[in-house]
Parts: sequence; C-alpha cells; structure tokens
Amino acid sequence: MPLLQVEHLSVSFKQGQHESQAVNGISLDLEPHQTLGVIGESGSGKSVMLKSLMGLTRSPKTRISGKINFDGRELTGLEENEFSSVRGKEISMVFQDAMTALDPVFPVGDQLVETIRRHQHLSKKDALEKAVELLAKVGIASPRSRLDQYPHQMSGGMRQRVMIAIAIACQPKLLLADEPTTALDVTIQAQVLSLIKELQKESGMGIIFVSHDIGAVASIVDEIAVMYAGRIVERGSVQQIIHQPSHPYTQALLAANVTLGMKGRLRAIQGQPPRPDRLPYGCAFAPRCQFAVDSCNGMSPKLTTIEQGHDVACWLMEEEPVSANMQVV
Amino acid sequence: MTRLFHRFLQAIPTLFGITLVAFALVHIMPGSPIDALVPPDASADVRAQVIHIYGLDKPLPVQYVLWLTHAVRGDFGMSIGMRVPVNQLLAQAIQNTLILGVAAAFFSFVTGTVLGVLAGLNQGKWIDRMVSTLGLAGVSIPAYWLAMVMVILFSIQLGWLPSSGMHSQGQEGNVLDLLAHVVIPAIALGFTPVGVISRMVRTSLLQVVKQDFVLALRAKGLMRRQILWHLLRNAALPVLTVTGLELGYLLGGSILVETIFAWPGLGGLLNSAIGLRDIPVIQAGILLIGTLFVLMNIVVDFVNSAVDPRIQRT
Amino acid sequence: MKKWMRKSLSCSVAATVLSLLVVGCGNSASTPESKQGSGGTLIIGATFSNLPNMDVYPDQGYEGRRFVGNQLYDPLIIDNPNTNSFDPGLASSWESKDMKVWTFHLRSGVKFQDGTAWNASSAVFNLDRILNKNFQYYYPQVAALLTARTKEITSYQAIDDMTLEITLKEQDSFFPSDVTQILFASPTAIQKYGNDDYQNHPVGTGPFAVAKVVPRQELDLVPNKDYWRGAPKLDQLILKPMSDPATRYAALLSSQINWAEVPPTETIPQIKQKGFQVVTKPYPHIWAIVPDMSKPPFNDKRVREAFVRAIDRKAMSDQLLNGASIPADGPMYPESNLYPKDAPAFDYNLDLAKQLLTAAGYPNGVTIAVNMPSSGSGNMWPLPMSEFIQQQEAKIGINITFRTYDWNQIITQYRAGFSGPMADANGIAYSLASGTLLGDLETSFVLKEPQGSDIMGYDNPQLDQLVRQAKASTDPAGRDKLLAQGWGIVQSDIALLPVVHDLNLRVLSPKVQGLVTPATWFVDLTTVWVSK
Repeated sequence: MPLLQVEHLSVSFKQGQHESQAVNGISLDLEPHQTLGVIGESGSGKSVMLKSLMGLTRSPKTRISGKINFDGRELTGLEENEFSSVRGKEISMVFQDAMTALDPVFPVGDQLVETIRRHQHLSKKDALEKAVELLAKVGIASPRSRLDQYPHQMSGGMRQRVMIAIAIACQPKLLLADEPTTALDVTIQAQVLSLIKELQKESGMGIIFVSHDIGAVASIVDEIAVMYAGRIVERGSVQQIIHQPSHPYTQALLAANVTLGMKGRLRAIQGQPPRPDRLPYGCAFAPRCQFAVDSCNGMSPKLTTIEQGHDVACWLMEEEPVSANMQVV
Repeated sequence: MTRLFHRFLQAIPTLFGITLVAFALVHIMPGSPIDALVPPDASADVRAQVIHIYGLDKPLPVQYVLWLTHAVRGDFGMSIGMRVPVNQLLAQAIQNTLILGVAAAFFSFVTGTVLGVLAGLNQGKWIDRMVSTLGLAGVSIPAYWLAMVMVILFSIQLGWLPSSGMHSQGQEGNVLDLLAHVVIPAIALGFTPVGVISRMVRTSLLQVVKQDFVLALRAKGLMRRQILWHLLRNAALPVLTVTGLELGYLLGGSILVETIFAWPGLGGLLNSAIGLRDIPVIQAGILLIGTLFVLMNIVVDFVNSAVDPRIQRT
Repeated sequence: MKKWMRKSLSCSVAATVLSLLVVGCGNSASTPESKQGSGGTLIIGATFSNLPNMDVYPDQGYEGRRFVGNQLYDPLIIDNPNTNSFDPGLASSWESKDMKVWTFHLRSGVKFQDGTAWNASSAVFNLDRILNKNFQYYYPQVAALLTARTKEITSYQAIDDMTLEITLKEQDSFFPSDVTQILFASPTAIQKYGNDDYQNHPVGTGPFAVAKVVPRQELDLVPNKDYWRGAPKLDQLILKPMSDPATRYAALLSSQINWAEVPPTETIPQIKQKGFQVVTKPYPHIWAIVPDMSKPPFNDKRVREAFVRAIDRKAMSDQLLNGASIPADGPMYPESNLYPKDAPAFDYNLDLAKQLLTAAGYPNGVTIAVNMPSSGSGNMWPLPMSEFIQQQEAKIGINITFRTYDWNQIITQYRAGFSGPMADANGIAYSLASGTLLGDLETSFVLKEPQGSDIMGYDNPQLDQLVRQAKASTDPAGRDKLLAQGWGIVQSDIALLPVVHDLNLRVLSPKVQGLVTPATWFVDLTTVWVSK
C-alpha cells in the first residue's frame, strides 16, 4: 500500500470575481522510502499542491477537491485540530528560506522544543535534550550552545539544518521539501541534499521534493513529475525524464537549465506561463509551444502512458512518438 | 550595562537643553509672577522688594546659572505663589500623576492590544470595522467630552463611581477606594492612546501574519494560541515603541483630565503655576516632564532590544 | 437622593449622554426650612485650583480669603458692604476723632486656639510682622500682599493691655475698610514655627481650626468650640479645590460635596428642578469693559453711551446666564448705600444707540479691539459673555474684535494701561470688586498708576473734590452721601462701560441648613449645619 495516494486534487482560490485554478486535478502515489521530485516554473502550482497536502491552503476562500489518502487515512475531511496533530508529526515540511521560515524573535532551541512538545509528551528538560540530539543529527557542531541563538546569528546553511531538524523532530513518515536548497550556495546545497538523503535512509520516510531546478532534484529523487499550470504534464523515472523528455515543456525546461547552468531561473522559455485565473481552454502550454498544432487548442490532453512508468500529457504523443526529432541538444 | 551608561551619558546634553528651554520659555512668557502676587495698588518700592526676595531683579543669565547650580543639587527653590519648596510640590504631584498615568497606560495598553489583535485576526470583518471606528473615535473625541459623559453616566446617574478627587473622606490609605476614583479619569486619559495602540497592533499584526514563518508554524502543527503568541511577540516591537511614547505623554500629566477630575497631579500643578507665573514651579515642572520623556526613551530602547534579538545588545 | 438617580436613569440615559445635562423627570424635592439644628459635615467644592496657604493672607484670590482666611482668623472689625457700616470683631469698639489717630478697644476674654491670649501685645506683634522691617519676625512676603491696606499707617502702639492705637499719615475716613482686611495670628505659633513654616501650622481666633491637610486635595477643619461669637454648629468643615465648574456640578450631583461654588450657568434650571438650593445674592462686583478714553472712539461720551445702550443686559442676565447676574447701569451695585439712585441709567435702546453713534461721527459704524481674560477669579464666564456683546454691538455697527489672554496677562496689561502693550486696544474686559472698600472710588477713578488704577484717562475735578471731602469726613453718614454722589458722577460720565453685576452663584444640597445668605463675597459658616 502506498504511503500517499493523491487523487484528482484540485485547489482554487477565489479572488473577488475571479477564481484561480492553482492545482488542477493532480493524482500521484508515493511509497515509503521513495522520493518524488516535482519541478516546474514558479506559478506552476507545485508549492500550492505541496501545502494542500498538509491542509495549509484551507481557508474560506479556497476550494479543494479530490482525495488525499495518507498512510491509510483520508486527510481531506479532517477537522483543523485533527489535521494540526498530523502536521509536524507525520507529515513535515522544509521551506525554501529558513531565514524567513524561522521566527526571528525566538531562539532556535525554543522553536525546536515547542515542536517536540506539541507532539510528544516530554518534559521541558527532556525536550531540550532531544533538541540537542536533533541538532547534532543534522550536523550542527556544538549543538548545545546553539540552542540560545537566534536565526539571524546563524549562517544560511546552518539555519536550513535547523529547519530540517525541526521537520524531522517527530520522525515523520512524509517529508515535503519546498525548494529547500534554492536560497543556498552551491556547495551548501549539496551538503543539505545529502543530509536529507541520509536522514531518509535512516528513517525510511517518503519525500516529495519540489524544485524549479531539475539539476538539483535529479541526484536525490527516484521519480520526477513536471508540473505546468496546475497539472502534471509529464511523469517518469529520473532517467526517463532527463534522457527522454517527451513533453515540449519538459524539453524546454531541460534546455533552459543547460543554457543557464544550475541556478537558471527558467526565463529562457519564450512567453509567460498562463495566469491561473485565465487558463486557456486546451493545452495550457500551447501558446508557448513551438510544436503546437490546432488540436492543442481544442481540449486539454490527458496523461497517457508512453512507456513503462513514463506518462505524458501532450496531443503530439497521442499518435506517434515524436521524440526523435525533438531531441535536446 | 555599558550601553545603559552610554545612553545616560548621551542624555546629558538633552537634559541640559531642556533646562535652557524650560528657563527660556518661562521668561519669554508674557506676564509676571509679581502681578499675580502683589495687589494692583501696591507701591513701587513694595513691588521692588518682592521682586528682590525672589531674585527676579538679577540679570537673566545670572538667574539661569543660579537656578541650574541649585537644580543639579536637587534644589528647585520655593514656589512664589504657595511659598512651599518646589521639590515637595513636585514630589506629591508626580506621585499622583504616576498613579493616574500608570492606570491609564495599563488601560490603554491592554485595551489597545486586545482590540488590535481582534481587529488584526479578523481583518475586514465587522469586529475589525468596529475597532477602526473606535480608534478613530479615540483620536477625535475630546477627553473632556468623554470624561463628562462617563461622569454623568457612572457617577451621577448610576452612582457607581466617584466623579472626582483621589479618595473619599477618611479613606486616604484605602487602595480599593483609590481604584474606584482612578477608573473614570484613567479611561478618559487612556482613550486616545487606545486608538493609536490598537491601530498599531493591527497593522503590525497584519504585516507579521503575511510572513513565511507563520505558515511554517502551522506546518509544525502548532495550535492557534501558540501561533498567536509568536505573532504577538513579532508584532510587539513597533507597538512597544509607540506605547513608550504614549506612556511618556500619559506620565507628563494631562492638564485637562486632571482639572476635570480635580486630580492633584503634575498637569494641574503646572496649569495653576502657569496662571500665577510661578516661575520656580514651571521651570522645575518642565524639566521633570522632559526628564521623564528622556528616561522613557531609554526604557523603550531597552525593552525593544529585549523583545527583538535582532537589535544589537552590546 | 438615590431615588431620583434611578428614576432619571430609566427615563433618559441616551439623552443625557448626548446633551451633557442631567435631564430631570419632574421630580423635585422640597427644602425643609428649619431654624434649629446642628452638626453634620459640610463639604465645599471651592473654585481654587489648590488649597490656599494658611498664613494671614491666603493665596488663591478672594476664594482663599473667604474659605480659609476668614475661617481661621478674625479682623479687628468686620464690614457690611451694603451699608458700609462695621461690626465689632477682635476690637469690641473703636473711635477716631480726627480720622487720623484710631483707637481700638480690644475684645477681652478671647484666646487664640493654642491658648495664647488676644491682647494689645499680640496685636502689635502681628502689625510688626507686616510693618516693622527691623522686627525679628518681619515677613516681607506677607507684608507685600497687605501693603495696599497698610500704606497709610505711620505708627501703632499698645496704649494699655487691651487698647491699640494706630496713627495714619493723613485723615482717612476709609481706613476702617482697610482694617477689615488685616487678620491676626497667634504670636506663639509664629515664634514656634518661624515665618515660612507657620502656614503649615496656622493658629487664629477664628471659628474653625485645621484638623488635617491632604495636600492639594482636601482641607479638614473642625469648629472652635470656644469661638467668641459662639461655636459653629457644624461637626466638620471640608474644603476641596475644584477649579472646573463642571467638576463641582458633578461632585454635587453625585453627593461627593454638599456645597458647590459657581456651577456652569446652563445647569441652573436642572439644579433647581432637582431640589437643590440655588443661592444668589448681590455683592460688590461689576463686570465691565474699561474704555480707553484718551483716544477715539471712546473719548466721545456719545460712543460710550451708544455702546452701553446696545447691550441687552437683562437678556444677558436672565437668558444667557440663567439669573446668575443682574444688569448693571454703573460700577456700583444697587443694594449698596453708595448706589447713586438719581444717576442716569442707560437703558437698552437700539435706536437711540444708533443715533448717538451717528451723532458722534460714526454713521457707518466703527471697529474696535477689546482685550479680555479667558477665565479667572471674578471674571464670570468671559467667552459666552463676550460673544453675546459682540452680536449685540454689531447691530448698531460697532464691530468688536475680542482678543483673549490668560488672567495673569490681563492683570499685567491692566497695570500697564493703554499706553503699554495694550496701546492698540480700545478697551479691556475686567471685573472690579467695586464697593468692597470705601476707598474703591478713589483707587479706581481718581488715582492713576501706581497709586491707583484709573487707566481710562478719566479725569473729573468735581469727582476728585468730592472724594477728598469724603476721605476727610468725620461723619460716616455724610461720608457715604458724598461717595454716593461720586459714584453717580462716574456712572453718568460712563467712565466704565457697565455690563452686569455678579450674584455669587452657589448651589447647596437640600440638607444644608441655616445659611444666612451674605451680602458680601465672604460667608459666615458658623450658622450652617447639615441635616442627616
């Protein structure tokens, strides 16, 4: 049985007259020990999707549909207080920038301890001991002396380690990482990635790793899902996605990445992604797609399996594989 | 500790400036203490004699230096009108003003914070609009009007609270009696700051709520009240700065509120001293209020650095 | 008391909140007038902003004199301003053959409240304290305040143990007025505490003694059981400084005090309806505009007359001030025996006022500036009163710019006169206690600064002559006749632009009994008691 099974998850936000469709019928599975990378431009809905898995997008102005089955339990129907005891305990999240995701006016020790004590019945003293252990575990030297430090007194890498320590404090089964390395220097990025991988090896947690940077994801994930305008447009193993990108968007993404290097911001793709409140009727990528044909504007393409474990949502894939003439340079 | 010391050192020129201003203001002011003191038909030599007794015949720079040299030793001379040591007058007055000021500050801080939090957490809803209206009322309703309305309602109509003074007959030491007397004046005095503080709390809170760490706190599974605590600590900084300044204003003593409630504080003392051109009292009073403000600023600085670790403590 | 509170609450909380006035519900208590009784605590909300000091010349104006000076101390003789006669005080009788040497026979058997005997040596001690610069206990601070009352004295001595003789520079039949202003303190107490500290431990012969002082809040007095005029009926007298009229009004209505000096005039109808005693009584006072008669337009008597005739002083008293004043025709109030009955009264008459102004050469009106105080002892309600005058004068074409100053500044301006900082003003709104003292006519209309306060540029040789005669007169009745004539000259010359006489408004709880409404600013509290 998979650890996480998401079916037809849709999230839309009401903004005055308009309704923004941020996530549009996503389905995905994740096994324990497995790491799924989700890539896409900013605004593709990957972050919203991630937050929705934790119930963090719930609000009177949000409409959420679909199913989220986690560890045999349906999360979508949970009351807020039930959900809050899942968060941080069974499902945790690591955010992009620890500088802004940690509370600037509390010492990091306090921020660890409050998480620990929220989910585990420990005395203050025991929780402090646990906090020290956790800091040591994420590779922070002389952890005890760090407890009283504030986020601004630490380096970027160390802050990210603290956030990871908070996320794994209660041995979650699922770790959601929202671009956890984007704000870091390249060398630190690698350290943090290997730390996450190591922690996974130890605990067997499932990981969904969101990034706009295929390069960063490729080294640690098992599978990649490419998101565009709230949908998954291509899904497959790392090998399949990197070496045989089949959706024109994936191809463009990879090309942009190569051109701009690891830190590319994907500006190389012509045009802008569509506004989530004005999605085109057919394939959302069609206006920017150099291979677009008439049928692309008719209906939105469904995710179709083109080989074992490799799905693509593109009208061009319906008839015959076009990969041959679309090879990336 | 050294920082505290430095702050005090920095305050010395400010205080010195305040003494100059206090002295200058009093002597620029038209009118004379002698006219308030000596009957209109007193002879010229009697006037001269009285002027001499109070040292007002000396050149102004000499008067200033004399005053300053006594002032640094804590001697502010005798009140011209009342013939009582100024120290004694100010000590009583500041004590009474502090009682009222602290009560008003407590009221306005607690009420302002609670209202600001309610408004900030319910942005755009009826409660937010109500708090905004109340805040606007706070800055636009004259304290005098509010005071009279409360007195009419709670003292005259309902008979719950006394309408003026600090104590009932023979109840000078009774704290409960004092509390009953301080309620209406404290609300009248603290009403304006309530508006200021609640708006500040609301704005500050709305800015904090937008920050990433709030989502991170939810992601950790924290409960509402735990998150609220984080929000408040973060929102506190600008609020404390404003509160400190408002506190300075409250502790300076309000002439209006003290007069309406016959509250024997600093404001009332200064008001009558100004009417009588009682120079020693006015000078010392201005100096005292200035010093209070300087102290309040230092305190606010320190509270800020205690609340916000990002402000360097060296 | 409680009853009407409940009742009025149920009828109109909302209305009260908006109107600031306590709206009654037709419930009015009757005031039982009984002559017998004693005891109780009288709590007075006085107009001073601080407790007056308690030496023989209290500060805080005449309010300090009224409620502290006169309750702790006595003068040698006591004045009756309406009749300008004098009652015996610490002197049981007095005489002067030539109005220059005055002999006072001191009352025997009187003791200061510390047991010190009242006699000629204690009287001389007190005079030394304010007149003898070589005296060990000479106190210039108090001496200066009394200088106007003592400036005619050249010498004084004890003739025997109970006789005091005072010699003046020249004949002065007005001197008894001055004597009423000099109070006597216990020499023992002054010696014990020294001049500066004495005010904290005052001892006099008066009807009350200090029991407790709560600084700036409350002065508790207890009756002098051995008071030579008879012990006061009260058990306790408490004075509270309440400088704001609305504060006194609220304190009275919430039963914190049972005697309020000058409440806001607009509350008078409500106060009456509640069954409180509203007490008014004429006394020597005039609220006037002092004109600069040395320059146009007020150098022309026709303009002054037009100005006076344009003000509906009856409407001001009855409607604007709700009966807290009476219209004035001249500086002297009508109840006094010095009131000039035959002098012309310049009744309200708009047509005549217009004609006068035209005749004076101002057919198109004239614009003038008047300085006025914002508040202050005896100044009544300057803001509404000046607005009223402004509207009235505009009808005949006199456009007034009122410029408001604080009371101290007005005093300074007044002293300097129209040649000083007020040079650009045509008048100054000012209250005078005209007729408190026999010498008032001379000080206000004959003597110029610095001996007097005739700043108007007013000169009338006939008046000067009359005053000189009166001052030398040895016959009180003849003296008063001359003075009345003099006040008549001032009134017909319109040397002051009269507006209203204050009526010393005060409000008492129905429980306060036995008050003999005084004809002066001062008040005798020995007859008062408060019923349970």
